[in-house]
Amino acid sequence: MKGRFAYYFIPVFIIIYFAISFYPIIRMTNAEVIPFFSFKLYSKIPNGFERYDVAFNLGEKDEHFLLYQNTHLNGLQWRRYAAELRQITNAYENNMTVKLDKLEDAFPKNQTATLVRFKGDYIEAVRDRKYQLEVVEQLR
Amino acid sequence: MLTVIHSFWQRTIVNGESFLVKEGQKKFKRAKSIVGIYYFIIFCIALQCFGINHLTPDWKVLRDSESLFSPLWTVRWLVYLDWELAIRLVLLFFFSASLLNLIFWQRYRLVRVLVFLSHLFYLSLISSFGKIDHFMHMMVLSSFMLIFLPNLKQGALENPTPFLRVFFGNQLLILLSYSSSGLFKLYGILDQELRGLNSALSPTAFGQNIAKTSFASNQEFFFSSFILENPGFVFSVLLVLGYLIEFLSAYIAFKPKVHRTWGLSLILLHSGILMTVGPDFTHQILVVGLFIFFSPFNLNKHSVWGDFITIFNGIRNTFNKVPSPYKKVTVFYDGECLLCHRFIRYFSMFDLPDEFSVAPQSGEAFNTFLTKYPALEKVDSIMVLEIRNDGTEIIRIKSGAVLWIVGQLKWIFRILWLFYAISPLFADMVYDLFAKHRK
Repeated sequence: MKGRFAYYFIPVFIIIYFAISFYPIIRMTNAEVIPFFSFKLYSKIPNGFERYDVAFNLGEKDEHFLLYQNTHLNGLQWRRYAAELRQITNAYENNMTVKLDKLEDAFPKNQTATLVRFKGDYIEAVRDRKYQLEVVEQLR
Repeated sequence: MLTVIHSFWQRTIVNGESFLVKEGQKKFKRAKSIVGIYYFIIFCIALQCFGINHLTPDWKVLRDSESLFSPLWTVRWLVYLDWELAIRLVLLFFFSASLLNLIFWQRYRLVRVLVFLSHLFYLSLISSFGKIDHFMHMMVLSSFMLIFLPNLKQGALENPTPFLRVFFGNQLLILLSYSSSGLFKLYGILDQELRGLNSALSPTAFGQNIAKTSFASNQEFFFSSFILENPGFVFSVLLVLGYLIEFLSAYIAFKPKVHRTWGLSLILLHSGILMTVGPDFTHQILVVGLFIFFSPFNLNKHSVWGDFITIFNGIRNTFNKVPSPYKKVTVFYDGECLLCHRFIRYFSMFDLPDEFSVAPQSGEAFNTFLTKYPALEKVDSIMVLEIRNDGTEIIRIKSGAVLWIVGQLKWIFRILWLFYAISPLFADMVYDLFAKHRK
């Protein structure tokens, strides 16, 4: 290559890299083109929050959640279930059929499952455990 | 496009000499050592993937997680293989490629290609479970950029510039990623303020970010509870300072004297993030540490603290109302350019000190100047030579020269430096495109 290829390639690649980083902005999506970054992360300060989760045995003594305060999941399970939950909530918000097939493995047997929504302020939720919990739909 | 490419490389000319060429062999030796250490770290990371650590998933967990796999485009091919075989293949490929690379990286580009691919496949594999982690991205991109290093015969190069060019390209890529991230964050402030929402300027902003990750990950971080209990503007100041450090990073790429300082600032930024918001970017710290903090282009003899003092003095001098301590200033302009003539005529209307003079680039004085600074021969630009009382010669070209001149005409024009500071590369590209089409 004798260095000439790199002379032209490096500036062009850097421009391409910079352009690709705008992809999620243009497409209004969180999808990223690996191995390129999404620079949107942490660019906005949360002003309150709404997060969906699945509650098991809601209201019972052994009430617990799919993600919230669940320390039994390994990293891969946590990521995958969070991604599936995002799809479920997108479907729900767009009045589409909610499909649970990919989450069935995560549901403990003989327990009720309810799609719930946490609402509140992040600081109060973490510091004082103060948040609203709304029932969205009975799943099982 | 060619104009943009030439502008890009000419931006590495600092004070009449390209920092990629000046003391090239010395910088090459340091750069070569850094690349060697970098590849050693890659090898250690590949090895780490077989053990148990909190950053990368345990290989047995990977093996047992076939049902959770949702492949990214780079590892879609894995679904055609037996799952356990695929996992073992990706891990062993990463290990063996990084081992081979450790031994042969100087001699064969192919092994550098293999280490990039194996690293990319591994990162893609662990990111194919619904969420992409970013702690390893910069390493993968650096591995990609380093593919373009020239092969070294007997570990040496007669002309080290191509090697240093690729090395610098990688530095810029790293720093540009920070700048882009900072840009979006500063935009976020503007957007949220205009919409009447709490932005990073709010005293609870930092706490909100911390609480968000704490809530999502069920974890408490070292300083998180302290900040949540004691919100205050001091944390907002720290947050915005962090944004500014990120944002100005690409500018720093072209200022080798401050590479160390900026590298240290970015390392401290990541340390702060780890202790408060949580994401562990140790891999990124290694990349920033090696390529920026130990930058071969910073050959300052003084300590990092000395670098801090240099930056502080530079900023103070830029906005100092007291005239610069110059003995003589010569502005070299293109005598055949109508626009340059007009600019010089406008410039002459002001009451400037006697030390200022102008000279056409077709004259003897300019030829003598070029003999001393041959790197400027191919640069088509207005140039300013400032000789200070202590004999130091400062040379400014392109947008830097124009903005410096207008800054001397009226102090208020120095505010334009702020725009220049945001992106000198962009300013130079605009200058070059303008210069190309001038009459």
